[in-house]
Amino acid sequence: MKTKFYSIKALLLAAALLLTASIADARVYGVAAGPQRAVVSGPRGVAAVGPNGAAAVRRPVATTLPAGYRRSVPAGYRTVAYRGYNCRFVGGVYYRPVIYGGSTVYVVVS
Amino acid sequence: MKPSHSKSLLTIGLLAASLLPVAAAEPNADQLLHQMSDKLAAARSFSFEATRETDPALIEGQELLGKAHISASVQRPDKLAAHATGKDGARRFIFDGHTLSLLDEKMNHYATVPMHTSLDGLVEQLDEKYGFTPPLAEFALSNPYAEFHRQAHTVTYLGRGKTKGGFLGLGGVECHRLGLKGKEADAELWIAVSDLLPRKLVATFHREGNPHLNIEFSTWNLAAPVTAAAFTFTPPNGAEKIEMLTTDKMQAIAKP
Repeated sequence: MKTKFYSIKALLLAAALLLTASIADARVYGVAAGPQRAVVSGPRGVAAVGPNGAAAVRRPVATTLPAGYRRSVPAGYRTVAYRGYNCRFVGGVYYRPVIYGGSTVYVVVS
Repeated sequence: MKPSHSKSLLTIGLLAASLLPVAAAEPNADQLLHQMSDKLAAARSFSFEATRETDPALIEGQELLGKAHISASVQRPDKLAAHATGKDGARRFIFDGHTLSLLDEKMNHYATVPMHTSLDGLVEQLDEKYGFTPPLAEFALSNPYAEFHRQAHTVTYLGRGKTKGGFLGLGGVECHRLGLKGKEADAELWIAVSDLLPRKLVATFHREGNPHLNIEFSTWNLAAPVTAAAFTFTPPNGAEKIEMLTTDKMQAIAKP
């Protein structure tokens, strides 16, 4: 009985350590570490994964923004209020600026 | 062999040994890493400047500029101001222990999020929740030694080297070169012999193409005068406040 108790305790401790490690390993020298947290999808069809998510996918060599995001807005836009946000409007499409990953990106608002 | 011969050989041997240069004991790499980390950890307020070059394969979104000049001021335990400028623009990070503000200077956009935590907490929470960290924040953590050991399982002494310095190599700094081997990357950390502060970090990542990260520190000031104003964010005229997306929200918004 006592042995079983210690075994469970050891398993719980190991699980806690593994969880800690997966969080701590997220970044190496300021760069997101390999498969822990890829949040990208792109032309190669690589999917997004969270630190506690399943189906780990190796980060692609050059990461791209997910579908529905743009790094910049086409020229000739004007700023308009749309759905409660200041958006850039050009070519019949609304783009909402947000900061993601420390930089400005644009969400395509449909 | 006659005793007189063996005596002569012994004398020659001793003489030869005395003429050989005395091999200096190799410095202990882990101890050097410890000393560097202790020095950084003991500094209550400090500033530094560095240049960071990142291979495109390491660029995550737009967080890392290909080549960026970074200046940072730190006041322990919970204040940080960093400025990164590069080809793609400039970003300013201000953290005052309660709030993190980020300004994209080129676009004149800024975002502010509550962040009631220490510098260690900032790095962890930003990474976890928002998918990025302020530039070179790992050097501002309370225990850089532990951080380096998290990233590298083996630390070895590689010898000495001199940083390239300026014109004709003037101003180059004599450094200890440490080899750090890790699961994700191997790195070379250069620590100045004179003041035991980091001068250079070159990391090679174990992923396709073996991309590199190169950081060169140009200035360290461990007694930097800091004022509250340095950690107070005031949006520039006309700056537009926008949302800072969490990783979860970004995924939720992303179109399939």
